[in-house]
Amino acid sequence: MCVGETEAAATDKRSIIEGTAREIDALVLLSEVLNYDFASKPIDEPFTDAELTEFSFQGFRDRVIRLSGKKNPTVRDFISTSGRGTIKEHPMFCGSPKQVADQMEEWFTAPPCDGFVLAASNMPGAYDDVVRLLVPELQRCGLFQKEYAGPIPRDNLGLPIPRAADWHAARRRAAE
Amino acid sequence: MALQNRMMTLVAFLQAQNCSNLSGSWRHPATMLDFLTPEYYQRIAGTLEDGKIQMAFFDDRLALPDIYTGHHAEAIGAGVRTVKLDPRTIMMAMGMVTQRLGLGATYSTTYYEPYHVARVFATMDLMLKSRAAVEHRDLAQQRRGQELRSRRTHGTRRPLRPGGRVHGCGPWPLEHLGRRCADPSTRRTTALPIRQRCTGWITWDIIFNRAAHSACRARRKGIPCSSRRVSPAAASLLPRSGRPGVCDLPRAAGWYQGIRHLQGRRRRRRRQPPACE
Repeated sequence: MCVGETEAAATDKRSIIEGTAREIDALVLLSEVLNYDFASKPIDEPFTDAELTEFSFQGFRDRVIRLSGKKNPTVRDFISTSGRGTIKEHPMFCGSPKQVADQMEEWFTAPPCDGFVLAASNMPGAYDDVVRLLVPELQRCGLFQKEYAGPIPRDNLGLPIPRAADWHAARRRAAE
Repeated sequence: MALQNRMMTLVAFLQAQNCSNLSGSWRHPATMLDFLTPEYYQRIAGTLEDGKIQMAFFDDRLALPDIYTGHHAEAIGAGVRTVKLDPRTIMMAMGMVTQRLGLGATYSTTYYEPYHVARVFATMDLMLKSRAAVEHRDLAQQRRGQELRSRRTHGTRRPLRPGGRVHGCGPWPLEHLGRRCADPSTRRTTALPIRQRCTGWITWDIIFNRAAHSACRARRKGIPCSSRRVSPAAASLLPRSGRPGVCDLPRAAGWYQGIRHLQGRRRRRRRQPPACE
């Protein structure tokens, strides 16, 4: 999520955010997610088949293999393809409030999703931008609540309030 | 028409640490770095509530990233997700300055007994007037949790997987207190918890070591711990898992006042640990 007053402002913000990432971030986080010490391998040497089977997160490994088009990717391939530790790792809406609201509306309507989990690129500035610029735009479009629907999250998320013994009944129904 | 009136749900994904999900965010020139103060979290809570955001959610982790180079020094030097404060405490701080914002967190059922997690969050839900939410997770991939789970299930400190490394340090490696993560190109630094701030953790560690020490001493002296029954008072302090060897003394001692009562009495007969696969 990168919202600016104008498209140009948002692009500037985005380039600052991109400049905060370092290679070491990717290496530390890749080692962690794959349970393999990436320091034990020269950066441009391909992983052997045996080494690749040692990785714990196989879906992650397979995605890198697929996207890089290499059967035996190198450390550098893992860094660049996975985008670990950078904003490339997840989809990012970027632009003026109107542009971001449009992108979100597209996701929200076809095929429909319920909402969004917002990750910040800087604290608390990213949330300030969302509240100051994006939320009013979403509210104008009738996509986001102008007031809390009620005092508790269940009201705001549209969840029913369970009664105390409901789960007993559910378990009994499941058993029958 | 129903689709027209649909409203989005927006959830802020927060981290009780030096960076956001983006590990380099602490290097961002506009990032505020007072993440060891309640004001940092309360400021965000106020902003989110002004924006009518439905929920703030914390993920959690129980260990520093230490697979890279086999040590946590690199991760700390680069400030990569190196601090994780307890989310439930922070949720309370945020809940005290808000009225409507929902507050949720991931909480480990590997590290904490499910009974304890349920109690903590039920209490919090009352204190926050029904605004607390929890996601239970088996955070077993975390080094610290892995070690604990291993110790509980096998009675030893072994990793479950052959590749998994075990880190023997406490909640925070003490030798790194007061060290700063520094980024030479932007001259930006982030303070790690300094000694004064860390009293709680240091105390915890001292209690941990002391309790472990007295348990060892009791064993050396041959106090027949297993033959003694645990008194009802002491038993009521223990997590209710029903598995032998689950409640290790240091853990119980760190958190409950019954420390003296528990010392030297609670060790049950040591079972032969089954072989790790």
